[in-house]
Amino acid sequence: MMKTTAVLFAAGIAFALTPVTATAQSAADLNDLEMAHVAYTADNIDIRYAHLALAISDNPTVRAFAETMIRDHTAVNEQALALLAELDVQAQDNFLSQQLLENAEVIIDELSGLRGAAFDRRYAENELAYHQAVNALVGETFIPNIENAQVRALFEAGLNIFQAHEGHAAMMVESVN
Amino acid sequence: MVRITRRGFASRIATGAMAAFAASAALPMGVARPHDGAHVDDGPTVSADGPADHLVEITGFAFQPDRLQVRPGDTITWVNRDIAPHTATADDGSWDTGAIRTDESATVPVTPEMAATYYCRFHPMMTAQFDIVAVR
Repeated sequence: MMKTTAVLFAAGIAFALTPVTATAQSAADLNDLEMAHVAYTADNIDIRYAHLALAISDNPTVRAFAETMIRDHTAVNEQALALLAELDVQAQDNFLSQQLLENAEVIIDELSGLRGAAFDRRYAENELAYHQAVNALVGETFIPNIENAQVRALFEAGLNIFQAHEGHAAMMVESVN
Repeated sequence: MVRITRRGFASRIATGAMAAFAASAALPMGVARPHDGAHVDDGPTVSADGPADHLVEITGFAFQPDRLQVRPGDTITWVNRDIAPHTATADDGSWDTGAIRTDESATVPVTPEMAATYYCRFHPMMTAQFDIVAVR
């Protein structure tokens, strides 16, 4: 069950990267405003996971990590919104944002049913997998295809943060296993 | 409890530290102090004759520099250049800047016995230290 959801998510990303039919879209074809929407959605999903951790977990390492996720992803979103306001544009909803949200619902359903050490292990495992997947998407597909220099700079700063999170999540996985 | 200052108050603290330094350190007149540029670290903002403020930039999830030499009476100011909020917190918890948001700063006075290894409470993999050297 655990592996299935991780594979589902990864599969969701993998599917998005390779066009299968004439109407299928790929992540690389998203425009700047759609990518911004994906980033904003990805941040909000991690914030929701973190709130779930604060509601359920007693583990101080998990709780501290969750608080950092809320703090950091909120800060990135503030910067993203400020940049969009400065450019006088709005982020655009798209297939990939919708896919991320659908996948997140599956994870939230699963996490909500867990308690204690089982929750901590699954939350930590998901945080590591989630940050790995998003970092790969942003680093390999988004950043090379962003047109606006300011948007790219923000994504690069965001990637730096999320890579630190990935390392932090790896430490958390060690501590709960 | 170590008094932590935020931007705007740093200059007041530096002035207070300077007054304390002048009052306590009875330096003999006529002693030549080496001033050949041999002192280390980041280049404090006042001359080697008085207390210095040392700047540590928090950038790319790291403290820059991650090691510096300070003297009692000096101050250390952390400036956050990252988007994410950070802290500078003593490993033993004895001093803590609290959350420093983007482009904000916080200043800590250096005392002889203070804990000299620290980390970011929000991102514990970020670590740094300083060496408290004797007042010359």
